[in-house]
Order: sequence, then structure tokens, then C-alpha cells
Amino acid sequence: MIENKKTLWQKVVKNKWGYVFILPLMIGAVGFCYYPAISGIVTSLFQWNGTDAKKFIVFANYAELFRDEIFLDSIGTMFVLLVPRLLIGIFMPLIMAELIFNTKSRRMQSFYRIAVLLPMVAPGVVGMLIWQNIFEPTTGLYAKLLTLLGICEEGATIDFLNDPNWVISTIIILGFPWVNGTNILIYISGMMSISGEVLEASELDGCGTWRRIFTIDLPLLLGQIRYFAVFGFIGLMQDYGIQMILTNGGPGYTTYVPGWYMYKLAFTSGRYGYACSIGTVLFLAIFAVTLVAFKLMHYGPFEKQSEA
Amino acid sequence: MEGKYLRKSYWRANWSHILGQACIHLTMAGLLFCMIYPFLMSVWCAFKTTVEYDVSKFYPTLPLKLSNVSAAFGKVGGYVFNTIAVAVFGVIGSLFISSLASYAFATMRFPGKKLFFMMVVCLIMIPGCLTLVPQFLLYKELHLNNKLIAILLPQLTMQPVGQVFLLTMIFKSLPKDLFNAADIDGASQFQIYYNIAIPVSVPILITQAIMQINGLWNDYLWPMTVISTNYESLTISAGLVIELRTQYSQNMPVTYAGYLIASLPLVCLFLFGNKFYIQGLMSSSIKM
Repeated sequence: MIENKKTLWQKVVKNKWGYVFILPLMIGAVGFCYYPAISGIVTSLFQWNGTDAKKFIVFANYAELFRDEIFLDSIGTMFVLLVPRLLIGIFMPLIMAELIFNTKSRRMQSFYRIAVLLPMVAPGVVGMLIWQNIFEPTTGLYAKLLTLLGICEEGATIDFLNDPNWVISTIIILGFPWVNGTNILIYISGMMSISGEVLEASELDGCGTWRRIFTIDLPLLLGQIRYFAVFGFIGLMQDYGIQMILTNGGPGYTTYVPGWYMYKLAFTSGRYGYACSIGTVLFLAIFAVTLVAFKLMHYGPFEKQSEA
Repeated sequence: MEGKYLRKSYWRANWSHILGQACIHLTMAGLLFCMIYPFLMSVWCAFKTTVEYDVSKFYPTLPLKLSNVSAAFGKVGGYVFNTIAVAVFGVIGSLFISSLASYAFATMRFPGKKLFFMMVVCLIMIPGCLTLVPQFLLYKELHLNNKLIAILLPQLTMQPVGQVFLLTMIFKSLPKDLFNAADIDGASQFQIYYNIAIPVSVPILITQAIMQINGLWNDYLWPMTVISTNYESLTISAGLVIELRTQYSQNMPVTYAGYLIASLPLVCLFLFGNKFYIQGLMSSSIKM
């Protein structure tokens, strides 16, 4: 037993450089990733405004949360915003990737590949602030376009981001045509890895482009589609960038999502404990989604690692 | 005679093909135009006077008002410098920390290695919404809030966690002989890491650096959270939002010129890095 311990200690000493090499990483991981996560869950059991002493109230925060109308409504809003944005996020890059992949001219193909990355050169908020300008009630591009198409009456002033009837659709429209260069390139690389023999055989058998897309490309791209679906879902569940920059959750509570409610509670109302309980609920929801997704798909980071 | 016939059938057989290609190019052109137009609009609006802006913001006009740019630089220049400073130290530090650890995970053997690696991998299961508030409280406790270092520190502590996974796979895929030979020659582990592992993985490190800089440039959530009063230490994205909010009587052309200045460093990064970025994405590193 003692001998065993000694050899373990000797092993540790002999390989000390290994520990030295991972030390900076582990300090960051434990101190700035694990610690906040755990302290967040612990704080959710307290009533705390940041200055006074913490008061232990067990699950009272959660009890309040599931009776809180604002929170319950915000879950609905989250899904109303999430579903269309998720579908757009999955299929718009796929459509553009198919268009680029089916371009015969090599030069145009590589031109398109670079062109779709162009929005990267402007910071994301710039894109959003430009869109705020497009949505301007009277002189904005969107108002002009809608009057031109006859959706709005001539001379009507609609404050798209402040009108409860319009704000949801406005948020979804924002960013049209939703080009996401990175995802497009990931799809294209998936298409390029489809074996040439399969494509050639299908062509010889008289398979047209449309049929090829639906019977060969789509099934073979399922991995990428799943990836974007799962991570898009998780990402959109906690996304409140538009609320933060454009709508401030308004008008009223119409664009409140759980994440934004958490942010407001913590940094405007100073109710840290209550905010942390929303954070914990979101975490549990995301955890459940991830587990279900991985279970259903037999696909996960751990499996990937063993393959590599 | 024969040639003419062949050409005719060639055209007939390819008629649908040409039509298809034309459709693709037209659709792409339309989509790309819609994508780029708002950005172009902000480029030409940056050089208009306020009067011109009101009349003709949808198309460019000629006399360029260059003073907008210098006016805007006075406002957002500081944020740009902050961001560049954080980017330089953050990227170098983060890539050093993550590549060092990845090297250890990939090539060295020591008790507890698997456990430590699992700890790092499991962190991807912890979403930002859980950690945002407690993280803010942690920085407040350490008296780091309202300082630029509060933006730099996550770049050194959280960013490497995301990079380790990919870098470990890359280092694992390098031939073992490469390291063994150096080991026999008596090189220390750090020498092997520094002289062999790093130079051969430069392209992937550049891809990672580009992603990190891009993320930093776009992040406004954390800076706006952790810096609540001392706006001078904000990074660019948060700075733009704050600047736009505090100035209610807006001079839109100057604001657009500010966007332009905020984008310039990213334009340089894009010109330099788009090849690496495309390569990195198209390479086998992202296979699903």
C-alpha cells in the first residue's frame, strides 16, 4: 500500500512538467468557470441585493419564479422568437450552400465563398444598429419597402420596434437575408466530402439536381443539420442581444425572454439571488435539451473524442 | 456540317443547364445585394452632411465630407485602442495557455490526466446564462469591475477552455516520432513544445486567433455588464452602443463614420486571414 502510494507520488514527480503545463488552464477553468457556475446555483437559494447580508431562503426564489407572470410569459415569447430564427439559421445557410456548391464556374464559386464572409468585417452591433436605422418609422428603408409592396398604408407611421403588433415580426426580419458565412462554409465542406463516385453514379443514372439534393445531399448532411439545430437551439434559448440593444424588452414586456429578465433583475433591480434562480432554471433546461439531443442522435462530444 | 450539328445538340442539351446556372447566379446576386446594401449604405452615409443624409441616404452623393471621420475618431478611437490592446494580450496569452495544456494532454502521460481533460471538456455543458451574474459578482468582489482588465481576464481564463479541445486533437494527430526524436536528443519538454509542436501548428493557431479576435470585437454583453460607470475602458462593440445611447441628438453621418472606423481593423484582419479562416473551416477539423 505504502509502496503503491510512493510509486504514484514518484510518477507525479517524474511527470511534473505535465502538471506545470496544464496549471494555467486549470486555474482559469476552476476559478473562473466552475466557481461562478457553482456559486450561481448556491446564490439562487439566497435573497440578496448585493450589499446587505445574504439571507438563506431555500427554494423561495423558485417558488416565486414559477408564479411570476413576467417569467412565464417570457418563456412563450422565447419560443415564438426561437422557432423561426432557428429554422432560418438552419435552412438559409443550407440553401445558399447548395447554390454555391452547384455553381459550375470555379472562379465564381470561390468568389461567393469569400463574399458570404463579408459581413464578418463589420462588428455584429454595427449590423444591428444599421437595422435599427432601416426600421425607422417614417424615413427608414423598411417602411418605404412595405408601403411600396402595399402592406402598409401610404403615410402610415409604424414604429416597428415599439409597436406590440409589429415588434416580433420585425425582430425576425432583422438581418435579412440572414447570411451566415461560417455556417455556409461548414455546409459546403460537408457537401465536398460526399464521395465523388456517389455523385457520378447518380448522374449516370439520370438523377437530376433536385433529386440529388433531396436524396443524396440532405441525408448526408444530417450531421451538420443536427449540429446547427442543437447548438442553435441552445444558443437562441439564452440569446437576448436584440433586447439589450434595440428593444430593451419592450414595448411593455412583449419581447422579454428569460435571459433578458435575468439580466434586468440582476443589473437593474439588483435582485441577484432571484436572477441566479432564472440562470439555474435556464441551465437545467439547456442541460435537458442537450442530453435528449445527444441521446436521440447517438452523437456527442465524448463519442467524437473516441473517434479521434 | 457535322460540327454545326454537334454544336446545336450541345446547346440543346445544355440549355437547361445554362438556365439553371443563370438562376443560381441571379439568386446569389440578389441575396448578396440584400446582404451588402445596408453596409454600403452606412459607408456612403458616413461621408454625407446631415442635410444630405436626410435627402439622399439611399444612394451615394459626391462631395465627401471627410471631417465626419475625424469627428468620429475622437469618439470611438479610444474604444478601438482598448480592443486592440485586449486582443493582442488576450490572443497571445490564451493561445499560449491553451496550446501548452493541449501539448501536455496530447503527448505527455501523468496520473490524473484523463480526469483533468474531462473537467475541461465538461465545461462546454455550462451555458453563459448560468455564469453571467455570478461572474459579475466575482469580478466585483475582486474589485476588478470598471477596469479594462475585467475584459482581458476572461480572454485568458475562459477562452483557452474552448481552444483546448481542438488543439489537443491536432497535437494528437502529429506523428509521435517527431517528439520522440527530440526527446532522445535530450530536449526538455518545453523545448519540444516550443520548437516542434508550435511551429507545425501555426495555421490552426491563426484560425483560432481570428475566431477569438472576431469574438472579442463583437462582444458587448460582458463589457457592458462588467463596466457600468467607467465607459472609457469599454471595448468597441459596447462603446458603440453606449455612445449611441448617450448622444440623443444624433449626428447620423458621424455615427456611421464611427461604424466605419470600428470595422477597419476587422477589414485588415479579414484581408489577412480569410484564406486561413476558409481553410480552417473546410479542413477536416470540423467533420460531423
